[in-house]
Amino acid sequence: MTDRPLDAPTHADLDPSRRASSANGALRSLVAALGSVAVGLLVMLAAVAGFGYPPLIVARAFVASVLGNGDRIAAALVLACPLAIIGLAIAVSFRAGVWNIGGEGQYVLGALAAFLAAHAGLAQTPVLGPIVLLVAGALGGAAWAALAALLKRYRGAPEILTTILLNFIAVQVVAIAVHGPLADPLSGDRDTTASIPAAAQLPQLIPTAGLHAGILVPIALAVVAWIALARTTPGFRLRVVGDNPIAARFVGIHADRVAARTLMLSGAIIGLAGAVELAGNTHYLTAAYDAGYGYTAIAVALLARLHPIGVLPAAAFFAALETGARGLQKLPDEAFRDFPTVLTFFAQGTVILVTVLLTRMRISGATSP
Amino acid sequence: MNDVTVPELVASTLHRGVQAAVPLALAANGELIAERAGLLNIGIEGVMLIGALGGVASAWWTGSAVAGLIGAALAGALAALLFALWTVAWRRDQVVTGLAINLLAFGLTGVAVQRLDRFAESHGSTFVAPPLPMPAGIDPLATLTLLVVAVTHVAIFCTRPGLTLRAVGENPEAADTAGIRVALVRFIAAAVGGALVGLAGGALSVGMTHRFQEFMTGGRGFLALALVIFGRWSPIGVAIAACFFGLLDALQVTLQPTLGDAVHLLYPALVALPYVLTLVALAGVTGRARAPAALATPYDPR
Repeated sequence: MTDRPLDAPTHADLDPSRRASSANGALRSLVAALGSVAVGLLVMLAAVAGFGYPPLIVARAFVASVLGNGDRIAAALVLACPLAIIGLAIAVSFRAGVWNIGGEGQYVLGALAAFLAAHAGLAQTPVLGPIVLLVAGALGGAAWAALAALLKRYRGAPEILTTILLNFIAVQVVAIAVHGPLADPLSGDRDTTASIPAAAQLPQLIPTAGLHAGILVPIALAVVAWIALARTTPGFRLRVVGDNPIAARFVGIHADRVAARTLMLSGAIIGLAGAVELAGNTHYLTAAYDAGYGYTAIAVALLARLHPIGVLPAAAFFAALETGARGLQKLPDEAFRDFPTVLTFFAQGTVILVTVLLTRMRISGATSP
Repeated sequence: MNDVTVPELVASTLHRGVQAAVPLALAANGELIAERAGLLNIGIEGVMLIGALGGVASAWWTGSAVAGLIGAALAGALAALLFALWTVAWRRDQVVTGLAINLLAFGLTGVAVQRLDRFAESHGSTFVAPPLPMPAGIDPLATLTLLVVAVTHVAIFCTRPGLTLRAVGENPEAADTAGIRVALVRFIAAAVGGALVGLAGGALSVGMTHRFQEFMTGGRGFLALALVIFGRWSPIGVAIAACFFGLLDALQVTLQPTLGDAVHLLYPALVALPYVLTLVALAGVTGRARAPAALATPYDPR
């Protein structure tokens, strides 16, 4: 921990695959990503077959249930939206060598903060309403991440553990809020809140398909993050801290400070995802609001090899996988009625294992418990 | 609830506390062995899940709970060997690999239990483990855990293999120079540690609920990671920390009926309590505890 040799993880700097800036590097990344996806899909099909489903029929039904009609594509895009935003935030923190595993907690806290803001006066104004929610969500996520950042900075508690622990706490915080003060008096079981006011909701692009304006947020954010990481001084500092904390110290960068700020920035982006999802898609909170996005988004970030733009297709891929599995259950064929969607977690794990194998990706940073 | 006397309540809480401490102590000791060799396995939550399922599966198949525990340990060791293959043989990032194993295990066990339920049903049976024998009223799992803790403690601090293990975790270069095969030691540590983590899963499923439920470990693997820090990488210290959290878990169950109408509101707070206390403890302890120097660092013998 404190007296761990700081020069230990710097092999990463010598590793040419870390530098994906050249065209060659970009091509290699793309090949590696496609390879991971292909192997991941093959392993998943093998598992499907192993569990007694006919793999080819599943594969065909799967594709049909994702791409079959516009509504299914829209459903995949709606799911890809939070995954992409959270994946982006995780990519940014991993680039700085900061282990933000707290996506789940920052996401639900962001949603909670946005929900509270939805009842403020300012949120009732038409255009301003959703913006108030997004700001509140970002603040909520940042505040939750700040707990881990403070514990790390002043008490030396490893964020890799504290962020995970904070996930479990955040889920219960939302449960308490929903069961207690925020419960909808009309819902008998006190397990849901009322919907947020219409003025605070994000506008729908295609109302019949549930496609909301929030899906533009990850696209804009990815471009901003890409430019910020590659072309600005704070972005440079962040990358130096991630690649080589020693070098950072020699050029006068306070690695601890940058790491703490990165964790809070990451939390803010994830909180924003919670707000976008609330304002665009779910519209109300439930006592069990967590959906596992925080963990899936880790797979998104890694498949994208921590590249902000790469996060977009990676999120679309995992969203398609999930909606495909859900779509299988809705097919008329009885055999798929109970098709286990939890299989998608298996695919996420496989894709990460193959990605890390193909690319030697190593996230250094001076952080380990 | 009204006709239960206070001593009875205390006794049942203590009993439940020991039961809850067993999987925590086993998992944390397994992780400790791996960490002493320089392997940080964030994936022990998943390894524990695989052990829990492997345990019920082998207990159901053989009709013996003891065979179930052995199956749980073997399943855990196998899952941990996958981790070692990636991180030791191929020197991949330990945290990323661990995270992948969690996702993998969550998906795999979720699907497998559904299919196994169906399979057992089609053979006119249910997918459950028979209860463990209790010779002379002694809890076999608690006894086994005590033994494991004692043996690990002595082995790590008082034997030559223990010294080898610690050398690999503190300074693999020096260990290599002294003729120790670093990769082999790490593989063995991963397998032995994984077996204990798998056994912890088996203690949950075979030992307590007799069945497997999706994500039944509920974050205990992550708690075990923190316990290793509280116990300062010493098996006895880890076991004491596990007992504390086990008691906390039991208190939660005991207090639950006394909440009355407030249960809706307070129950989530009780569920969150162990995690809050873990955070507080991490804030207090980590500055003073020292991790094995080569923890989470791949060793490249070039």
